[in-house]
Amino acid sequence: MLQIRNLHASVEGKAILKGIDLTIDTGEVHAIMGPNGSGKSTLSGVLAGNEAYTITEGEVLYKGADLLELPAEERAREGIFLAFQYPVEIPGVSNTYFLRAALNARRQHRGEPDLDAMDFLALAKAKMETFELNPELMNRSLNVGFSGGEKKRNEGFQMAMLEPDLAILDETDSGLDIDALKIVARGVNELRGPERSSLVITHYQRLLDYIVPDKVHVLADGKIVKSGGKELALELEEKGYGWVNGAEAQA
Amino acid sequence: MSGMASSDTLLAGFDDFVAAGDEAQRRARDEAARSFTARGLGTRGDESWKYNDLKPLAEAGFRPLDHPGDIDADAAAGHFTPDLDAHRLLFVDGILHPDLSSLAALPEGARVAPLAGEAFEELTRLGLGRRATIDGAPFTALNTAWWRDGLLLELADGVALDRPIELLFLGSEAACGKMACPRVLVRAGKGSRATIVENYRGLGEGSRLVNAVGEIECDEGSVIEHVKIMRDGTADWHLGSTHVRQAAGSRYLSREFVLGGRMTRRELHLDLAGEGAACELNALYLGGAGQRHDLRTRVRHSVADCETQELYKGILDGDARGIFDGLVYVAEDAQRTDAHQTNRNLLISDDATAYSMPRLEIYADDVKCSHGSTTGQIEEEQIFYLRSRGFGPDEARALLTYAFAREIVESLSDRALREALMAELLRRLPRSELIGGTL
Repeated sequence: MLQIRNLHASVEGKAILKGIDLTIDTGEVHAIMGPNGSGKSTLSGVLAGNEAYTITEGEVLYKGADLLELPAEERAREGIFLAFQYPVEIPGVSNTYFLRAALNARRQHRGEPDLDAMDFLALAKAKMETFELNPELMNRSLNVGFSGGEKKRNEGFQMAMLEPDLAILDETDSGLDIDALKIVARGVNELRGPERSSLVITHYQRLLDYIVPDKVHVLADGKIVKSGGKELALELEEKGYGWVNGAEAQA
Repeated sequence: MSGMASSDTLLAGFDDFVAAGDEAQRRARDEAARSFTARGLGTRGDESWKYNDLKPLAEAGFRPLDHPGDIDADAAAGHFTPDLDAHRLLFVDGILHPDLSSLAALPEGARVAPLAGEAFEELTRLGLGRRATIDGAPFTALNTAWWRDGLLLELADGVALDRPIELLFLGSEAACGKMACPRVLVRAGKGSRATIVENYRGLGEGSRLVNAVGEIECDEGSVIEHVKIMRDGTADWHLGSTHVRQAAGSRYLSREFVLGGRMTRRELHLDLAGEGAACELNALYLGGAGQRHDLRTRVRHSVADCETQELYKGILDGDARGIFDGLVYVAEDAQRTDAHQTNRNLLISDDATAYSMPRLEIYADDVKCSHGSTTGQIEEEQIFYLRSRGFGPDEARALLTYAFAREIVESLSDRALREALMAELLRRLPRSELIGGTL
């Protein structure tokens, strides 16, 4: 699904990613953990096509093709979805309009007909229940006046509607209480399947109790310094990030 | 005479005109004309015209209009707001066109009449000239000297108008080079309610001067929604001021849309004079190549427990210039004033300019007041968020521009009016053809 090779990226001239290598096979869920400033959000932004980042070296293949040459909107239509750490408020654009246009952009790209308003609303209603979102939020401006938890659940809801092939969750657990965390995790798990992959980015092990990854990687100073199975997350939780930083120094 | 010589044309023919009226009216007009003569446009060094320029107006040599132009009736009727179920009045070049006006079935206690048919004494009793004072206000003076017609709306206590009143002010092609001076006088009795729509439109390519003045008295507990839609022609000058006095517990809701004109200057003067009076002042101005929109608000909180909510938004493209100058004055006795004033400008092009001057002047000590101003481009993080969901960059920009404007349109109470303005925004805003479906 995704192959990242020797990826270097910088923002405003400052190097953030310093040689990432990572392969995610179809059907797998990978987690990336790391301390603040290690480059986690930069990696998610680069994969989603945020032009604030400059790629200085390396390549990324998505479904076997060069990902980095695609603009953000084409990546989305090709099935990449980024759940934002800080979902953006857009006054004046309703959740309904936004999501229906997003869904139809993806459907058109696949050569499918647009979903009409009735079918769209029926689908949205069902998926909102999964995320325990009040249906009234559909008529409100996107993320405006949403609580922190509602914004994150709304990201999860969008993901469930758009059914991405590769979902990237950028610190979706930050600022979520345990109940909301379980709700979002349940939504992510419903989407799991042999055709889809996920990359879960988090600072804390807690989320991985509910979204159990196939592989865990530790990011420090722009590089993956350790990879392992799901037990690596627990070990990290126990020993702290100082442990991997030390491991990196010894390597 | 100390005024600019080139603005003399604005009083051409005044002596003959004024001789026709009754004595009291003649005195009022004379006084206004003298005030104008003494000062002229008088804008040099005047702070309130700092970011604007009236020299081209003075040089254009506009002359007062003496009779309205002919218009095609069917075409004129098409300029009323589509599907708006309203009491309609058409004014051509500031003069009522009775054949195309319908005042059927007004509720009892509501009086709608052309100003031209009323005795001056009666108009004075209802408040003509009481709020729109001529001192230091050359355009109000000109209007006071020259107005020929306009609207009188009088609502008895407790009367609620069932439908909006739409006043369509059409500028005819025959009025090019001329100044029209429409006047609006509203007396809203206690607990009365009405929606008034002033719809200005210029026909053809020529240049006209619209110089409009409105006066509104809101008695205790009345609710007046006042919508002004300026769709003047691209070579037109539009100068207008509205003067409102609010008694206790009244609400005045102003929604202004500046969509046309070469230069538009809108002034709103409010006196919140009775406790618990509240106003909402919203405006949207769209500027394109060669356009200047100059919006000025003066709100005076004279007594305690009044509220002002003000939101002015500009979208400026090409080399347009937008000017917002707002002042909320809170007098010493106006305790517990709740006043919030915001101006936001979206610059679509690098050549567009916004001047933004929200101000508070507070002499009471127990108040909740704020003011704010933002000017900038569409935020990149909003664009990226939309692109990350499959919206193309142009589509994202168009949608965000439309969304910025939409907030003001949504403050309108009438659905047909909202839909007409939304449709107009979709026609007017850059690349909005990219926005599809039902918003």
